[in-house]
Amino acid sequence: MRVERILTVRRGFGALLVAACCSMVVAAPPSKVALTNVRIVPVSGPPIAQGTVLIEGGKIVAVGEDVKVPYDAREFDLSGKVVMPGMVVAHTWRGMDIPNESRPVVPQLDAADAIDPSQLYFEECLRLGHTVVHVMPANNTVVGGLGQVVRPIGLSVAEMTIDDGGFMKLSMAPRRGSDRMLQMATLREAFAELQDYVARLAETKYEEKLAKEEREIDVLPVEARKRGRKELKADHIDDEHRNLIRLKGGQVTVEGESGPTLFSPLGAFVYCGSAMDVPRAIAFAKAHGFFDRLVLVLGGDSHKAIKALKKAARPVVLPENLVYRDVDPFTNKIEETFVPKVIADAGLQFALLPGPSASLPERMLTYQAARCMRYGISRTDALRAITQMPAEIIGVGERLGSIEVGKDAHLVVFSGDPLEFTSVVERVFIDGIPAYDRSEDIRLKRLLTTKSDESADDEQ
Amino acid sequence: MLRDRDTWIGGRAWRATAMALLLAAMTAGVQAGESYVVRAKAIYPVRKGMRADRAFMPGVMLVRDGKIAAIGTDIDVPAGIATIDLRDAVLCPGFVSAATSLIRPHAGEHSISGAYQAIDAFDGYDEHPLQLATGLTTVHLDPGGHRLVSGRGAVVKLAGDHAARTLKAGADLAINFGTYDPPPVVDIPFYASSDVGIEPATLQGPDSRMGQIFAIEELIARGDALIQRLGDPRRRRFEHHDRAFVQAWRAGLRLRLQVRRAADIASAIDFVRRHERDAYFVGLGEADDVLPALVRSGLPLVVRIEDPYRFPAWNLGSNPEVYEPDRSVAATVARGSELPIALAGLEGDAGADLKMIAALAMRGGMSEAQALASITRIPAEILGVADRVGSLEAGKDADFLVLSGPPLKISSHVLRAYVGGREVFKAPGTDALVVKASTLWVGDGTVLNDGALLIEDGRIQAIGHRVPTPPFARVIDAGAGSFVTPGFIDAHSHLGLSGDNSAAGPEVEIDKTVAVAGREFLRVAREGITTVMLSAYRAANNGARVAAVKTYGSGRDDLVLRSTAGLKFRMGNDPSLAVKTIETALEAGKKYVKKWEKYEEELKKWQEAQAAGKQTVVQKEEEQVVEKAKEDPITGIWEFKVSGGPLPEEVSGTVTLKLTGSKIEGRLTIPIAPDEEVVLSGTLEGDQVVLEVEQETPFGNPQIRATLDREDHMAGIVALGDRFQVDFEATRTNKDPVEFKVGRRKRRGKDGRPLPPKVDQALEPYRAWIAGRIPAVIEVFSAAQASSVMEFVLDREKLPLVLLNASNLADIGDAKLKPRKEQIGVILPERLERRREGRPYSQAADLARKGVPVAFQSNAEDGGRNLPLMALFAVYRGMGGDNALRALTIDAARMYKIDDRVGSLEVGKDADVLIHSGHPFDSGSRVERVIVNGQEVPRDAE
Repeated sequence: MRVERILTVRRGFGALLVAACCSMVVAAPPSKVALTNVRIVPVSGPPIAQGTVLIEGGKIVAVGEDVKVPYDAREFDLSGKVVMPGMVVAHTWRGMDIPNESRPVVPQLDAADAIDPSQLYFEECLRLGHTVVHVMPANNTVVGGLGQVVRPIGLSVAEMTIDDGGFMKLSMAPRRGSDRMLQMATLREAFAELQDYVARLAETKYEEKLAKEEREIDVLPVEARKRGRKELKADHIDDEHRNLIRLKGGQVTVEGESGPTLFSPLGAFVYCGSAMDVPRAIAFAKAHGFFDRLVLVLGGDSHKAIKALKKAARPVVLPENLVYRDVDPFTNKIEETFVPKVIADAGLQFALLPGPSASLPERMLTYQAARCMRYGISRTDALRAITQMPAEIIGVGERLGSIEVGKDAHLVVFSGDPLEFTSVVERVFIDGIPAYDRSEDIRLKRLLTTKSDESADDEQ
Repeated sequence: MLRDRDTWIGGRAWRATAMALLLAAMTAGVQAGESYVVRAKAIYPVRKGMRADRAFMPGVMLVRDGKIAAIGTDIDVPAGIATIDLRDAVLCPGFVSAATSLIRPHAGEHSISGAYQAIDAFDGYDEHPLQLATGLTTVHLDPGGHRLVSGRGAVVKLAGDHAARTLKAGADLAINFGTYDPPPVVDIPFYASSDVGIEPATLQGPDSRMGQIFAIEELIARGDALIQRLGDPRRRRFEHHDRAFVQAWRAGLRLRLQVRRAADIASAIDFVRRHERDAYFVGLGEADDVLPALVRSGLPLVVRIEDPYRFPAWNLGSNPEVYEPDRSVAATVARGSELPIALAGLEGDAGADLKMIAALAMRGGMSEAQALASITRIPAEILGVADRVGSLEAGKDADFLVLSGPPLKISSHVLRAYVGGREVFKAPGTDALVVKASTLWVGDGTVLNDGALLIEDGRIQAIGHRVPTPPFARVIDAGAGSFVTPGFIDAHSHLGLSGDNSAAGPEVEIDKTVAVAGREFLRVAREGITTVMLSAYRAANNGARVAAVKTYGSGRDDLVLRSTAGLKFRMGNDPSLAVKTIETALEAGKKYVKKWEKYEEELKKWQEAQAAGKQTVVQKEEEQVVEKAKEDPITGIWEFKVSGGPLPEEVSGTVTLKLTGSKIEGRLTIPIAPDEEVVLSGTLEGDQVVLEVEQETPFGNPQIRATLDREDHMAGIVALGDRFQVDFEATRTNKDPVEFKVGRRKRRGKDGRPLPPKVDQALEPYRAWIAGRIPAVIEVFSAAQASSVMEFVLDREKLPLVLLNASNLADIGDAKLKPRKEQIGVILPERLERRREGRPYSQAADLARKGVPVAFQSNAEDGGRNLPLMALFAVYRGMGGDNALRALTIDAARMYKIDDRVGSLEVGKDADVLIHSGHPFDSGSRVERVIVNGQEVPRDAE
């Protein structure tokens, strides 16, 4: 009783803080939280029929059947419920206002600058149990900019940020109004221009050096570029080119006011709108030194390039539409392919994406995973494709994606089996914070309340 | 007889097996790395030094690991190798197009660029079925004809493994003379600010013919500066597209010069000569104006032929400057020079069909040989891929087309396409079949020379000298000397009865014995007998049914043409009695028919009433039928007395009885209620009479049980259940046949609709016969029998008649026979020759001469396969060949009134077609192919 009263007070306090979004409660994580009597689906191992997850300081500190709940822990008795790791959306532009910058080559951009914490999208993420979102520039680009890994709670981007994105967005499929010849020419130009930029910069720096020493230019430009290289410092290079150098694997150090910063190499999320883009993306990544950090974002009939995908053995992000339809031009017969099955059979690491928000069931990752099971993918692999896999693909696999001791406490409590369509998300814990409670979800309540219910309430 | 029905599943399975074998052969051969042999009617290799319209006939090609290992008319074939026997099909190299618009021009704005690569736009995973269907297997991809220098072209195959498709990724550098006014280039800096201003768009050249050469020359001249990036590093823009052009130019790529106007052709020739580059021309609408210069240049040409059939609405109006395509250009250049000439479609026309284009070029005067080479070998040579594709030669890729006819014949279609030895396209399923032959014996009295048949959906759809060839239709060209006839009919067969010679009555539906076409069917079908008139070996006295059955098909629905096509009678030796049996049976049939007629009449009335909106009142309408009885121990009027038991006094009355067989019907009246007639019914067994009185009492109907103790007298009891019984005695006072007015309630449906009479299977065939829909097939031996049968059936009953056997028919004399020749048909005895009056006599020849329609019978099961030989023998013994053919086809069909479906090659009839190597009655002629319901009967698989 006492605990509950405290809860109510806290909740009231939270509601005051964020009056607009009832279900987004952001506060410092309670020091200890225990989820007890709950069926645990850790994804990284076999389910535990009834057990406890103990969270301390936002991290999972114990998981198991016989975990002793400390007296000072805030306990949630979740008997009959199922808890699974928070789901990971590997690639989405949602959370930003506009999917892409209108210019084709913008490696200097960062999705972190465009994320809007007040977007309803993040609230929707909570409702669906998606606790990690990799916000990335969309596919209508050539070199689109950097992504950011965020959690759907927080009042600022900084508060939301889980990890600075380590991936550049590239697209092999043509932008709107473009075609593949132009797309590839533009992409090649961007990298050719990088060479030229560095050379030109070196040449300029060498000339500047000579000017400082009040000497005449003594060598041909080719030699000047070589000599100028020594004069080059990281902060001479602008953001645009620095990110391309990072993509190519070069670690760039910038001397800032607060000391030198090392920019680590970038990976790339390369969108392939069609099978023909796949071998090209792989070849391009190899040519520019980011093959080891390549993630292929598949679309359209990309699965037809399964041979190339299998050979490359790079992780893939699957298209939103899991079923691809081919129409025979003579007979109009439709042949359907369930894409994840093709990918899974090839033994590739893959992440499922939620469908568009307009599609009621497909926007749930659990639904996408359930469909995979229906088409013959094992339950474990289907669950991994919405948790562990995407977490690993976006580089936060160490911290997220499963219920294991030491990992961040991103937990989703379902009313039943998560892959059962009738199950609903009841609670969401993000870094130990009780971030969502279905019973407090006003918007959902409004949606689910009928007129007669309201009048009944009035009478009371 | 050993029957193997159990293991033999039958027709559908058969066909499925045959198809599976065929497909297995086809697909087994197309596994990569495997070897197989293709045999075809003709193979056009289109190799250098051999006229392109010359073919290996027949052709054999050995394919190994996706390459052609050997090709010719007769090559050494390794033992045990898979064979694809394409029989009627024709092979030629896959078509090569040196100018397609498979990919759209690039969307970049730069006027001169080497950065655009056509290979980037190629979808190497697309199966390109629409292009393969036109025969295209290798294409050049053009970055576009919309910019002065649009980029690098590529040469690719349209099918096969993704990695193996690219023949040349950077094949050439596309320069398009006569392309002016490119869009300005807008380069908005990012981020534009007060420091970094947005520059006005950069205008690009060329705007004129002068400008185009200058623009290219300028870039070539700037080469080093561009590549080495000389100049002030702070101001210098990164000119990616210009640099890429210079790189491509320096890489020594071939120049693909797309030109249309004569002036551009001239300056292009000049340009190439100046730079001493390897180049080829594309387009050349006005080539004939600068022909000498072109010839001097020695450069290969890809001539674009405009295909106005797809865009007929190009109105030229009165503008004198308008450009009018001339399809004779290719032919003119070809005649005037030794230049390699390839043919291609119009720029921007993604649907260009090379065969149609070749046809247009031929209309413009190009030879067929040149036209075929111009869409296969020559473009491959021009594109520099002739070592791989373009002709069928040992060592080259096995890229070939399977066509339904010669490659450039407008009616032939691509049935299959192979790339790298693998089947990559298969024509969508169609059962359309065209049969071409030098003679078609139509069956309606006409003979068509050099004609063709179109078969679709199992029916003949067209016949004539030229018939439409639907897309992907299979074509059988039977060749010189071939002779096509309708399928043969065995007019009396027992196929499939497996020796069951029990007698069958008219109620036996003989077609029900047909379930699947087993091996014996196949044996008969292969010899050309496509329809058999099936009946039991022996007919019952009241006849047996004859069914018309096809010999090849996938099930009963396919096989049974008509379940009742005749009513067969077998006569005893006494002619008068024989007719009597048929007469009696026919009487019963007539009665049955009357019932139906009545019903139909009523139904019509009812329908009319319904139509008029009248509500039919369901009345207890009764019909009066008068039935007579004959004299016998029971029939007559009996006076009876009942006494004893509970009766207070003796009751007497009269009862009228009638005996039919052992059944008794009667009416009973008693004087105290003379108006009330009570119905009696019962039986007579020996002398025991049992009658039931149809008057209900609480104890059931009273029953009379009496014994005929003496003539006209019976005595016994009347029992009322087991409660009461009284004595009964009756004496016959009148032996006259009695008539009852029998009141029968008419059967009506709920809405007053009259209900049909009960179907009597035994009488159904009679109904058909009386209606004239089927003939009676009456087996007669003597002339006297024949005569009496004809008198009865033809003269008295005026019904259709076929005489079976009738060996001695000629004996009745011409005077009697000739007037009837239009009305009868004669099925010749299976023994065609015998002695008559001591001399060999051929009834077939005799009757045919007299104009009596005859037909052949086997009177056997699969012995029917010898029917054509019987006909051959009949011809040998003096029957006219045409008569014998008629006897096997249309005459037999007419006798049985199935000539609406079979018997001749007419539009709408079943496609039962025989292809003979010569006239069927030439000594050396064979039945080469048999088609039943549009399906070819497999020859060799058993």
